[in-house]
Parts: sequence; structure tokens; C-alpha cells
Amino acid sequence: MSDSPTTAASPPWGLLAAAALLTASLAGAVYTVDAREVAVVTLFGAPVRTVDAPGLYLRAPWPLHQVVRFDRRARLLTVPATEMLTQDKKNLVVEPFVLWRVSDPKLFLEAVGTPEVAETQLSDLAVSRIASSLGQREYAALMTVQAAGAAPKPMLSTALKDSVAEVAARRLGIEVVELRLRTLGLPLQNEQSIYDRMRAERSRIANRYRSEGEEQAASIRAEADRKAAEMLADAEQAAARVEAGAEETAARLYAEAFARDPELYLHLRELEAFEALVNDDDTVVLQSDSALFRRVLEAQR
Amino acid sequence: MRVSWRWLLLVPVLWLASGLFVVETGDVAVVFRFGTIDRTSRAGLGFRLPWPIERHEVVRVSEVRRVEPGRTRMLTGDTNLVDLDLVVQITVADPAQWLTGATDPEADAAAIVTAVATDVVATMDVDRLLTTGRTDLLQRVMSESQAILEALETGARIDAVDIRELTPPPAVVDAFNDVSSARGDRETLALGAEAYTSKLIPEARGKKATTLSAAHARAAERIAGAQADIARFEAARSSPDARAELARIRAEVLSSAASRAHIRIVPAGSVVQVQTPSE
Repeated sequence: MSDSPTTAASPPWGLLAAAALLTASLAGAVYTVDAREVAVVTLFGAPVRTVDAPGLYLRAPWPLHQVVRFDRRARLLTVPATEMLTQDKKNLVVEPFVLWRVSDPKLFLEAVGTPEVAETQLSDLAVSRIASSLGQREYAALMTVQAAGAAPKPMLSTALKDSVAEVAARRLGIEVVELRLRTLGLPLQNEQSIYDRMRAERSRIANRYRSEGEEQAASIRAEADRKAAEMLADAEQAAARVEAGAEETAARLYAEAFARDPELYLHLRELEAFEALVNDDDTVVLQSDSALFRRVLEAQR
Repeated sequence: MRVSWRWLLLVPVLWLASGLFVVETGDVAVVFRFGTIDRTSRAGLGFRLPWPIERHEVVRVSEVRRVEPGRTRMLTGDTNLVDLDLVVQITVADPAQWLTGATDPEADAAAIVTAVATDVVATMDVDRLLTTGRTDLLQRVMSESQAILEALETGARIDAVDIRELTPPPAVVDAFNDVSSARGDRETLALGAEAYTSKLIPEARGKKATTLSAAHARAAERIAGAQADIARFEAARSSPDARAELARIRAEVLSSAASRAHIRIVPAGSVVQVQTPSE
């Protein structure tokens, strides 16, 4: 553009410098608080004001006011697994967690200063409260079989959470959003006795299944045997009936014949009986004066 | 100075242009004005006032985030132990809350789901848990943790909770397997007995039929025999000389008997000793 040195306007250096100075002093007097933050304004280190809404704010420039910021988002504190005793002196291993956020930045700054310190204190507080609460409960009462679909009762009561929250708010400037047991277990050395019981219970169930199977099988077989025997008995009975019927018919036929000529009938039946009596290759011994011998002789004539 | 200072006029233009931004599909941009959340903008070209007045952050809302709380040993309602491994799927329900609600919404969701699962498992017995209770477990864990997470306003929503593994601890797994094989044995035994039944009954039916038909055959034979006898009787009776006919029959019978058997005649009054053949 204006590459002619003769017409080159000198830049407004004075104006630029004034703007820069203004910006710099404004920047010192203006600060923003992010939606993720809460802030405390301090005067020579002493807190004077709490800022808990995000936005653009004014302050006295350094070194008068300083702005200390804290993360306002909920933080998850996982308390390491801790061994605790129930009322009946059973050991439990619990792993609580606390979800917390800075609620009173001024108190938080004065009481703890950093999230790390806060978490140490919060962790101690939670552990001691949980321990004393579990110490008043029976081991067996922690676990109960409920009907399907029932709403589960949290291991830690809301009253316990509220009491921790109350202390944390009062002493640390912290809001406890959630306090729960992530896990509830047993010390390793105590698991073994549970395993032994589980094994015993399983083998009892397995045995029950097997003996139920045997019982079932036996009863099915017995039923089958009974049915078969019944069928055979029925068959025998029916067969006997049929034969008896035939016998009756035959007897009736014979009786009718007998009625027609008794003498002839008897003679013939006698002969038939004799015929049936004598088998092949039998030896028949007749005395010379027997009636049958005479009949034989008569027959030979 | 050879370069004109008028170039500096471009600076505000470029500064304003720096407020343009592009939001990809599936993303949401959250615009902050002096730290306060002012608005969110969906996919497309967006504009905000340049730094330091406004700035924006992008949140991926379409992504399903998989959270794995890890395998956990839990006490059941009947004080058995089970190992539970869950997988949780969460999505961003509220991008502004997602950015400002919690430092780690995914870890929060994982902790809550595990805690609720601990509570629920402590109300169910081990048999139901390992068999028919899985759906119930999941449903209760899901609805309960959803409610808790919603109240926490972390911007996250639980879409699904799945069981990756729900087993007895390794130390007792063989005992549990034995129970299922015992259950199998029970079936097998019953099936064996059924097979016995289905073999025995038709056999009996067969025997029944045989017995009956044999009886019928004998009955028919008996009647036929009687009829034959009577026919012979009637023949003898109706012949003109019944006595002669009777004599003829007698002769026939006796001679047939005599021919089949050995006839020994002994003098009247003699004693006969009979020796039965030994079997």
C-alpha cells in the first residue's frame, strides 16, 4: 500500500499505547468466574467475598484483591476398603464413596484449602460415622431376602448420610451429595467359612436332586410294574371267564344230550372216558374177572 | 517504517471471525459468556463472540459411553458370596450439566451402579440370583441407579446395565456345577424310568392279547369237542339199531385202546405190583 516514504503516515503510537494500558488495567480489575468454579476474593489473604455464580466481576487490582478459585463440580472420593465390626463382632470390609462439592468456598478456604486435604478429612469423617453405624447393626440384619421387585434399602441410611453432610457442611464447607457403600464384603480369611457353608449347602441340594431323581424313577417304575401286572391279571381273568363260558356251554350241550337218552349217553361217556384214559404205550392190566375184561371180550366178538 | 500501519485494521475483522465454529453431527457446543453458560448449539456452523467474551466447548452427545465398574464380590441376602461384573452404558443427557456437574460423571455412574447392585444383591438369595433372578436384579439396579444419578445432576443418563458375569466365586464353582449336574441326573433317572415304562406297558399289552386269544382258542376247542361228542351221540341215537351201534362204538374204542396200549390179563384175584418209572 503506502510504500511511498514521502506520504507514509506515522502510526498512532500514542493511541495504541493508551489502549494497551487501559486493557491491562481493566484486565487486572476484571475477572471471570467459570460455571465450573466458585471463588473467594481475598484482601491481603483474608477472605472478603464469596462468588458462587459464574460471570464477569470487578475487583481491586493486584496487590489488593486476589481471587481464589475452587472447582464447584461434584468430586468422587473413593474411600479405600476398610475393615469394620458389626454389633455381633463380625468383620466386614466396606468400601464407601462420597460424592461431594464445595458449598461454602470461604469456609472451605479457611478450613481445608485444597480438595486433597478436604478428602482426607471427609474420608476420616465418613469412615468413623459408618463404623459406628455398622457397630450398632447385627451382621445378619444387613442381608435379608426380599420379595422380587421390592425396592432395595441402601446399606447406609439417609440419616447417616445427613449426619455426615451436616458435619461436613459446618466444618469443611462441603456439601455431601451422596454417601454409599460401593462394596460390602468379608475379610479374605472369613470368606473361607462362607465357602465351606456354600459347599455344604450345594452338596445338600445336589444330593436332594439325585435322591429326588431316584425316588421319581422308582415311583415311575413301580407304577409301570403295577399297570403291567394289572393288565396281566385282567387278561387272566378275562381268559378264565371265556373258558368258563365255553365250559358252561359244553356242559349245557352235554346236559341236553343226556336228557334225550340218559342210558346211551352214559355208555358213550364211559367209553370216551376210557379212550381218554388210555394213553399210547400205557400198560393196561385187567383181571380176568373184571367187568371191563368181559366188555373187551364182548367187543372182540 | 515501510509496512503501513493500516494493516492493523484487519485485526478486529480477524478477531470477529475467530468466533465462527463448526459443530459436527452428534456433537453439541456449549457456549460460555464470561464463564456463564449462555446457550448450546447443535450440529452446523455456529457463531459466538470472540475470546475473551465468549468461548465454546464441544460435547459428544451421540456417543454411548461404556463404563465398567469391575468385577466385585458381593454378599447375597442368604449370606452367600457371588462375583458380579456389570457393564453400564451411559449417554450425555444434558451437555451443560455434563461439563459443570461433576468432575468425572462416568466414574460416578460406575460407583452408583456398583453400590446399588451391592444393595440389591443383599436382598436376593443365591439360587435366584444365579438362575431366574438376573432380570429382576438388572431391572432394580437400573431403575434405582437411574433415579439416583438423575438427582445428582451430572448430565449423564444410564441407558443400560448388563451383566457381563454373575458367578459363584471360583473357590466354590465346582460345588455349583455339581448341583447342575445333579439336576441333570434327576432328569436322566426319570427319563430312564419313562423308557422302562414305555417298554413294559406294550409288552404287557402283548401278553394280555396272547393270553386272551389262547383262552378263546381253548374255549372254541372245548365247544367244538363237545359238539363233536354230541354229534357222535346223536348219530348213535338216531341209528335204527341203537344197541348195535353202541356195541360197534365200544368195539371201536376198546380196540383202539388195545392197539395203543399194552394189555396184560392176569388171573382173577392175583396181586399186581406196579413200579412207576423213575423220572
